[in-house]
Amino acid sequence: MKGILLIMPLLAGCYTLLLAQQPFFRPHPFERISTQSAQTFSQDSKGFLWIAADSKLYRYDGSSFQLYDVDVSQAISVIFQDGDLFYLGLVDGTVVRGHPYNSWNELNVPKGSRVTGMVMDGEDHLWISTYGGGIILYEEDESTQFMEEDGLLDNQIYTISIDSRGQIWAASDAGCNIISWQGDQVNIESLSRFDGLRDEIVYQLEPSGEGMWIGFQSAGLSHFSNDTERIDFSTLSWPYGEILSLCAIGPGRVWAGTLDAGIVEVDLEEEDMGQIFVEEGNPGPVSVIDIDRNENVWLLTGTHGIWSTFPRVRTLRHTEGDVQALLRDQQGQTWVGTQNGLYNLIEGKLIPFQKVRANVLSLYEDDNHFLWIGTFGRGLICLSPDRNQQFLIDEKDGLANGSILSITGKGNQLWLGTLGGVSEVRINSPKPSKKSLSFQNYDRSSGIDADFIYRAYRDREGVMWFGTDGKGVVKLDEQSVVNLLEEEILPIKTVYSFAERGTELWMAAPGDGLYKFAGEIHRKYGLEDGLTSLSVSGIAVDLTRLVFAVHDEGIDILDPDRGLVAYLGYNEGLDNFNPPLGAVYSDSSGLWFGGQDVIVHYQSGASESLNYPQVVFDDIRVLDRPIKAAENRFRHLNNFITFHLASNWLSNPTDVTYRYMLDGYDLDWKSTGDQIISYSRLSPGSYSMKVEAQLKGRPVAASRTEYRFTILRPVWQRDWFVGLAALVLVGLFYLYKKRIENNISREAKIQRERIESQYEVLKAQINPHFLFNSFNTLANLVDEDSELAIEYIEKLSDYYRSIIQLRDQKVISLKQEIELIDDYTYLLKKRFGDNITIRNQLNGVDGFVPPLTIQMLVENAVKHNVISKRKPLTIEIFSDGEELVVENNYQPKLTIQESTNFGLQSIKNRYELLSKRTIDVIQTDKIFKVKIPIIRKLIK
Amino acid sequence: MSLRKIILAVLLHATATYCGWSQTYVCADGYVTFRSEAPLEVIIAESRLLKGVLDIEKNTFAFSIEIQSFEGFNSPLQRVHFNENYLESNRFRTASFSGKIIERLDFSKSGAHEVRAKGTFNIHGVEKERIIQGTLNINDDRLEISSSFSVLLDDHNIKIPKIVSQKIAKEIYVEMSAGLLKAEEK
Repeated sequence: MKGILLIMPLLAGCYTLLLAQQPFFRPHPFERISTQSAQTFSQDSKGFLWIAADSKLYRYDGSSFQLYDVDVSQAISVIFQDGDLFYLGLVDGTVVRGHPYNSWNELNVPKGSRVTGMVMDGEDHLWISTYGGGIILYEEDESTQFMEEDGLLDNQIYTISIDSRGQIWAASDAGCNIISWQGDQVNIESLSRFDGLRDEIVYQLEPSGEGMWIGFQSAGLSHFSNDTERIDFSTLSWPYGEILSLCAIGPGRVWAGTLDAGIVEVDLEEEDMGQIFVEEGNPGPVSVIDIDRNENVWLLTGTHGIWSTFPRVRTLRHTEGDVQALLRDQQGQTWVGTQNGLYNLIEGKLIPFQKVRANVLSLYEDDNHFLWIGTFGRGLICLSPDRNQQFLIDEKDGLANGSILSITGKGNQLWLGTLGGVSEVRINSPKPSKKSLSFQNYDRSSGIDADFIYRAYRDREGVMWFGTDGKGVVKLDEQSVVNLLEEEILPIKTVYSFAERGTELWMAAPGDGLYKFAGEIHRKYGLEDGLTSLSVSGIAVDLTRLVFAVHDEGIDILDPDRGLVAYLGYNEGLDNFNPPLGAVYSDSSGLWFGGQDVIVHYQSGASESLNYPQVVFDDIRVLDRPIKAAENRFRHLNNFITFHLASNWLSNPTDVTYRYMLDGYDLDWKSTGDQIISYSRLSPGSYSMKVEAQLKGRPVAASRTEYRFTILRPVWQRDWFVGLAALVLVGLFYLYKKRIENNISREAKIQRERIESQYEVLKAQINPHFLFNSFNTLANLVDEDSELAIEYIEKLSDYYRSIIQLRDQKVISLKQEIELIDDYTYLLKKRFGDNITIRNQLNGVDGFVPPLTIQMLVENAVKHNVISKRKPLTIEIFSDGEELVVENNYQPKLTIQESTNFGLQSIKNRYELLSKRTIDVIQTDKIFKVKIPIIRKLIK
Repeated sequence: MSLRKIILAVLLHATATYCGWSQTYVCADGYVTFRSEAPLEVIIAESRLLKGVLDIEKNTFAFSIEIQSFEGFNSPLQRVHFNENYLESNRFRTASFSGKIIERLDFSKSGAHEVRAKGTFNIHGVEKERIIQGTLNINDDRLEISSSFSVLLDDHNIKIPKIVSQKIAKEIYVEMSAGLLKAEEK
């Protein structure tokens, strides 16, 4: 890389092995992993670990390995994930893309050389490194190959990486290539030995936050800073051999997996490094190191298989007894007090501090760097800042008691919690000696009504708190002494330890758990809040405001704001922890805990970093058929649904159980240890399957996952179908009803018309005129021919009887009508004689007519026309096939007869109701003709 | 074309022409010895028939040795077993190592350099990519190369019967040295 000056200002030359405390490694036995096969792994976005062994792909959830089918014939050399999409690189250069739950597609890339790495840049270009084929840039099914002639240092690329600037790094036998691009312009630069790199062969690359770690074949590792574009760190001497793997495990910290020297941790800030062994004395090649999102580090080693560790927790096992006191002094020296004496922690070993021989219970360094050592039964020892001079104070000098369980203080004041009450010590000289100390003791009479004072604690406000054995917490400020138990402010009898978290005071109450105390309010934290044990002896709050409870079975880490608890125990090497006095010490690097034969160091994270398991639906099956992506509506018969659950709690998978509730079916949550939940015969409806992980039986709300689905009703139960059916029914009913109504109304109209016509007919027939004429005719006949008169009367009576008989009927046969007309004709003939001629030619014609239709037409003709000898009236009644015709010669009366016009109108109306045919009225100068349709069939 | 043929071709080409290119160095005297340190027996054998060339411009090299040229052993029968049973030297006549020198040296200046040679190591017909460290001493027209490394029998599919596994180590230590001379123009 031209123009880049390389300087190596910070060279780690000597190694003080600060990292003497080792993290605990947990094995994950997996028989498919062998030293012979190509292996790699990668963690997905949901937290599962994916492991490739030969041509097989497995998923690991912390407890079991699940095989996923990838139809490839060659061994998988690289697993790369971009979101949910997987890319697998094979040893023959093939790259397939897809998802283990679905299908795979082969990418169009040049083959032949083993794929050694893949990265995705910010513009979705896939960069593939190969061993022999250079680098392949793949984008939208097109690939571009970069080789030596394009500016690469070598075609054999060991690995590829991307830095925080988005530039692609490639490692080879001749150094690094750094590739940047702008549009189509690809710019390949190199960083090689000629640019000051400490080795030609670069095996490994690992992005750090602000640059790139470079792991060499023989020269250890260097760090390249993006800021200065320079190498800002290199290991000067490197006795650990080839670097096979690199993993950044924190800011400025990296783990290098080596061929035969285990893991080497390099700390940029401390400029320090040290070896870490998976198994003491048996390193084995560490071929892959990866860190998961819970900050567990996963390893693949040639002789050991898969291992995990939580590197932020380191333990130092020793044989010097129970650690009762811990302190890191201003000079950086770590002091450890056990029942066997006082020790310094140097290079991972407890070195006895020979000048002090005592059972050490407590340690305190004052503002002038004097070290105060509380012993069991022997009083208080003061050690000078150079640690060369000391003096001892005991009961004879005025101390309340010779067993000092805790020491605290400020300025020239010390507070001691002893087995005989509280001693306040004033240091009256900058160089304290026996004589320059004065004591004030608080025994039972002083208000601190207890002998055993486990802890004296001074809060930030300067208020003193004393944790007693069985007598509660005593608060002492300038004004008063208050016993919080007696005053019924705080119901705790015994307190071992205090810690402050903001304005809250936290207390460790053995057997009870933790108490949070703020003002007058307190809250207890127990097993129901996720604590592993109630026998809490120590408590601490770290810089990220997490609360640490030290108990027999390990350490619980509590995030009170989010209600999360993490547990450090056997998985972190804290079995048989049994902290005797809950010795805790916090400094900028984190927290130190003392247990039985062990010292534990917890390195605080950058922020509150408690994590929790995530639950995923591994598989959802309906009638044992895996559902398609995003499928969530099922037919009514597909009502047997099975959920396969998985959680990614790689940290401690056996602690995870689940609780679930099918909204729409279950009324409450149910707990299960199973990973399969089935529901059968679900009735149609909308459901929501909710699942939460439970850590040690305690639900973690944030882990919830949900799947909403609908079982559809059968077609005949679906709303649209029911609606449609109802609509059709309503329509049909409406039509039917309408028809009935029509019929009814027509019937009613006919009825009305009929009644009206009957009325009119009757009115006409019995109108005085008709009767008068009839009787007149009858009178003449009586005189002329009595027999004829009788006949006339008979005909008249027949006529009236017929009218009365027929009037109620809707229609009558033509025959009946003709009989009526014949009677009527007889009556008219008797009256008008030859002046009227009625020719009825209907005999033999079948059909029906409304009653009195023809009679009414004939009557109309008689009524409206002149009938005289000179002007005889001829009425023709005949049929022209479909119709009846009543025709008369038109000779209207000059005096207009009073007419209701009812007759003709009535006939018209009745015909309209009875049939669709209408009647025709034809009137000329000569004739008046009415055509009436013959009804052929009777309407019922 | 198998790699063995390539090496052969390179060797033949280099030695046959034996001329030409000032950037080519040819092995004038080469020596290889190996040692097996098993719990019950130590076996040592050696050969002076190492052939090889080094192209200082391309930074490439090729070395090979006839398996049957190894002598020594603790008994003649042992040598027969070595050739017939273990290394099958009738089928796999040579062991070879060819590839490139990682370090870029200035061959115009005399001096000793630690170098790494990366290439394909072939014994018993099984190839393995190796990076082998050695010393390269530039002394005017003469180059001296020496190296010691080990070979794992497992890596090359060399099978030792269980009964004699206490007499033959799984890891064989190899030492080699070679003097190369610039191929002079005729």
